[in-house]
Amino acid sequence: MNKKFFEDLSLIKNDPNQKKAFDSKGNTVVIAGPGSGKTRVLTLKAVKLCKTDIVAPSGLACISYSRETVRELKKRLSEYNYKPKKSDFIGTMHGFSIINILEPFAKLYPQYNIPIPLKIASNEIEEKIFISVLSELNITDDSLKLVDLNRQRSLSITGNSKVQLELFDLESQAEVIYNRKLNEVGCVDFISIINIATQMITEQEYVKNTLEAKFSWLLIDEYQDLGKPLHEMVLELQSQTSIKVFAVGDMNQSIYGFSGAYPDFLNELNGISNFESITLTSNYRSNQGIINGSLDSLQLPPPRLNYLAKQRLDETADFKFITCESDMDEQYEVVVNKIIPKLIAKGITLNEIGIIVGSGREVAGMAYILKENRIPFYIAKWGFTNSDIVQWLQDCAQWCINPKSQSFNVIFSFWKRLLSIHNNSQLLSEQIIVRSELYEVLNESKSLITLSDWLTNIYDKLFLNEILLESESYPEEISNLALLLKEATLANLKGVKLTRFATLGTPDNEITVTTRHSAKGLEFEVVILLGLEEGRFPFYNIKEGSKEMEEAHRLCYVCVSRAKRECIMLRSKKHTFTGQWGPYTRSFNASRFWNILTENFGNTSNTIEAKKY
Amino acid sequence: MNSPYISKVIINNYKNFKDVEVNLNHKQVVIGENNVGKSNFIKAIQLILDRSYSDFDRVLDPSFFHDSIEDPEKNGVEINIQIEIKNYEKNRHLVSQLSDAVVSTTPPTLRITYKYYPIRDETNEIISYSYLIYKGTNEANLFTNEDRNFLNIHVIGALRDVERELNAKKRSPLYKLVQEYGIATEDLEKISTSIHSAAEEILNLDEISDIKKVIQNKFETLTGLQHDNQLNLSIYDTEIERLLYTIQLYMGVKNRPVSELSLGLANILFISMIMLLLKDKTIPRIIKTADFEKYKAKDPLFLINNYYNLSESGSNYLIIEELLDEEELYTFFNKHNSRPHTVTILAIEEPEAHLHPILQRLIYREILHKSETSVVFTTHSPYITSVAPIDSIVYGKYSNNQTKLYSTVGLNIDANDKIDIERYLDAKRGEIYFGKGVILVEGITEEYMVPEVANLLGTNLDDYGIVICNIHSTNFKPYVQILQALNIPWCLITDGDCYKNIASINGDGQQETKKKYHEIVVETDSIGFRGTELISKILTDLDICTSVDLEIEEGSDLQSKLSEYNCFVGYYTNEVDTMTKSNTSDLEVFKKVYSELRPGGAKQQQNFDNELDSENYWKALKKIDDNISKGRFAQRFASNIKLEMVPQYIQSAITFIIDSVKDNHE
Repeated sequence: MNKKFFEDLSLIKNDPNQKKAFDSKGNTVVIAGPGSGKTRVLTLKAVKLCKTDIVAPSGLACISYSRETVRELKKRLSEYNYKPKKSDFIGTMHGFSIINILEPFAKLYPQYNIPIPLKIASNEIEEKIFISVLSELNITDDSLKLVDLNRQRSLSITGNSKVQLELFDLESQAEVIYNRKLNEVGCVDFISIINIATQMITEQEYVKNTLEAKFSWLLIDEYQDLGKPLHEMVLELQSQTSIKVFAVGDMNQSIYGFSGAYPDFLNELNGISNFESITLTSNYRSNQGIINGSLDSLQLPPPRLNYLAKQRLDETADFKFITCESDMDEQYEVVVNKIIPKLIAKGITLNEIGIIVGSGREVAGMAYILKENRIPFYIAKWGFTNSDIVQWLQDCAQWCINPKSQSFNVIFSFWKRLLSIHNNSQLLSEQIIVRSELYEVLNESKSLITLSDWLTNIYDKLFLNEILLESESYPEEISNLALLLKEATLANLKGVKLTRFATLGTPDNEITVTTRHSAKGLEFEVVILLGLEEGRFPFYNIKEGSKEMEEAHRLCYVCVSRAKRECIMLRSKKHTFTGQWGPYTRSFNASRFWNILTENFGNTSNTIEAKKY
Repeated sequence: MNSPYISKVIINNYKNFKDVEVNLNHKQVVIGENNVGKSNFIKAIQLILDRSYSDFDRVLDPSFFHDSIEDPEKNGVEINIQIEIKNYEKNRHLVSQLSDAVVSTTPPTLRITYKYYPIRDETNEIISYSYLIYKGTNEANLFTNEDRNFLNIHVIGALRDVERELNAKKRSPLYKLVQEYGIATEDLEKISTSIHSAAEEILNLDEISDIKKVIQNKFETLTGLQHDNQLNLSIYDTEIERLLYTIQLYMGVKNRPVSELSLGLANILFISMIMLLLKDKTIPRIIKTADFEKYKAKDPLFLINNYYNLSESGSNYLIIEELLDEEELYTFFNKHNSRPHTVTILAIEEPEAHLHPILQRLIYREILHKSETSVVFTTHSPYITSVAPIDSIVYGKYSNNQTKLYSTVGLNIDANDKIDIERYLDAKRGEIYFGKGVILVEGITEEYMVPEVANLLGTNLDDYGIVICNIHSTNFKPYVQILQALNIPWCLITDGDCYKNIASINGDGQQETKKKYHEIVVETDSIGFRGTELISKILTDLDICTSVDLEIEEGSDLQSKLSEYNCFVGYYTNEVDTMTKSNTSDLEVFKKVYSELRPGGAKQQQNFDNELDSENYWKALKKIDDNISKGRFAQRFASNIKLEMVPQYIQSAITFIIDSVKDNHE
């Protein structure tokens, strides 16, 4: 606890609901709208619990959705001068399953067939298994997709939850075959890791007892994104152990239905009698107009959510609706040539601008135009995966730039773990030698200025490719590291300094370009939403009134609510596609989201043809 | 509730132990001759668990390897020591801290391994040796001092100076106990101030003032007229912490200080205080009023309201000693009492040092049967072993250049037998554990006779450390179980109890066979032996052999078969067998002994002599039993016996046990 802690604490004391969540003594579920300060409440609470409630050797367990959100949590915690203890766990659901359940218990319960050390199925293996599943089921068309099969696998775990799910025969059949084949090749994948862990918790008393002894509190962020296995795990632990659960989430920001993460689970948790339910309704990000607009696009059945702006009270929302003639290219051009110059003229800095597009391809397209026009930008989603090892390389880079900003101990302990899971024999006997070698390599690499030089040097001196060759825990890592190096030598990170890599998670004074899903958790003064054509967003194959359509509304809600003040939307009347017989053009109407928002916020001055803007 | 304990120890290549694996119990008594390695056994555990060892102490050198290993460090030999812990699962702190050490959950078991091993370079050349202590099966999970803060061992060595320990202010067990209560500083400050002011009264005494004056005068004459040579008298400082270790123990109505106690009493005092120190303190005995309120808020079942009373001073709550449901309260405090409670296993080497046998028995009965702390003793004392539960014995034996450890843990002894045998061991001072070989006999006759027969055979059983155990019955089974488990050479001598099968027709007109005992049988009789039947059953029940092993070939008998399995069975009963073997002049010995002991006159003697002469041995035996008693007769008879009279099975038993003990030693 430090000055910053008490400063932030005094902030939440002004919000009775935040305070209530901070003070809660038992199971708590916090429903937190956009900009409601949920992460602050969660991290303050975590720090408080560590100091008062949690006594060694017990620790804190804190689970969030992705590596990025975990990194954000860790950053916030360290700002409050939280020092991680060995017994604490802060990480993803995968990390939790592996470190606290699979690794310690796999040998004790051979019936679960867990390969130790964990052998993670590579993309290639998954692809092969999927193909053999298709052939075993005699499927030749595209009636079964891998993503649907994987959703089914995530949903198949059963337990205490009463949420009714629509299951499909084909997927259920495929699931059984898939799991069997995965088992046959002696692998686990990201879905089975979590499923097995949850199963072990529900079935094995001793596993439960151990978790109960290790963790008196379980804090969960982004509950709506974590899916059924975590939900079953929480239901089991809260009813069968004395572990207290503090879950934070927002049903309306649930946008990962394709992976089986439905809002229904958070809804169910919110209705459990021994949970205190707290709703955070204040918004500390946007003006009231943006809040209203985002809620409009959500189109929830009444009663309407009563979210209130607590900042920017005298500000009115700025919506713009710009119609282009044809194709995404024109939208990119309008953004670069018209919108951005005007925003800069208004005094808005680049890092307060977020461009949200529909796909990874559109991110690349937008980035290309920005680069041509020499506008600095930042991509929230890179060509490479932000894997454990990439994150570790970033830590190393930070240490190289400023040894005080990163602990060499932390860097070394990851390196040690990496070597040990890859059966490095030297490690055991000569830890100190391995340690000093790593130190020397990193220390010498300090003189290298560009990222590409630095990476080449590190890959080479640490024998990363050799170590990761045929790795069972990180099967995709060699190609991922190659992608990273490619980005650094040829693409968007070409010629950048090491500093840039070290702070990759946070944009400099740069425009952010992101997909709609990756926009989650970000915030900008101005949000530019591209591709608002009916049939492209929402996508043409989503049925009216379906779960998927509800989710599309939530996705739009997430995008709009990223804005603090201003939301600019673009659409094109026509789009050109490359078909079997060459290019063809189709016209598109405005997206339903566009229509909802123009109805309430559109007027002659803000609804404009691109050429007139 | 019993604390966690070491349930298994495996040692390879360390000191006396080449390859040893032994199961232990919550209370464990390690016995064995001098030099067998009892202390090394404790030291092996200390390498892993002792908090007072430094890193340096855990590094071994070539002298620590087993003697049989040549150039151990050149040949890359490893020393391995592995311990397993059970009964820890109720202790949340241990479950959490040692979660990497779990190797089984049925029952929950932790494993910690010490290894002293060679470090090799890339050409496989040994560069140096190092040690590693790890949890569970993954060598990357190191067992460190952080873990030892939750689980460790405390050793009270054989050579101890308890008087010094008891008086060692800061390190004294009494001070540590006092400290554990965490007395509030404010309370102490008040006392300190009042002691100080009270003590200052001394300085106002006329006598003291005068002393000050004379010293001052003397001093001044010696130092001349130097400045600032004012002398002052002050009392001993009464700093708060020191106040606590001025508390000393005194004993008896005369308040004798510890230094005046006998070594024996001081030892008991010391051991009892250590036991108190090691007790699980999850349930506090005293709760401060402020803490009491905090606990109350977390206690929906009103447990602490029920189990604690406000003290007279009003500042604390005291536990009500007669706890109703300790487990309930333990569960509550296990969760809410955040004060780390360390699990300490106590090892006491030769606790008998300085103790009178009666005190030994008292204190060990207390520790072995009532204490919740896990304790390992190493001892030579029969007084300890005699009160030790039978499933808590580890027997160390040196043979073939190495010490092997044998344990009675997990012996599946029938509950009633267990009570019987423990009573027997208690009465007989645990002699069974101290023999190099044991002859089990069923009665007083053999007890007197066997040593004399051995003498006649030219050996003295005492020279070989062979002990005769008279178990006063034929319930040999539990004794055999123990001796087998501890790998102590044994044999048993028992009567054949021959019977005759008599066929008859019963009231329902059914054919039935009755057994008739106490009759001399002839070749044509259908006969059986209760003795061989009983022994066969014991041997097969204990899996020493199978019923197939006991099938007899033509011209042989079951008696000789059983003797292959250490069991020597007679024909009738010892006395009758002896009479049968005696010739006319040998029978005179019986007559002579009878005449020396008979209460009656010549007529009584005549009747006895007649029975013997007419070979009515059963009747003769009955006369001995009725008029003299078998025991009294055997006592006198033993010193008159001649080797030719001794039934063969008894001679064989003696030769057998002597050979086994010899074998064991070479």
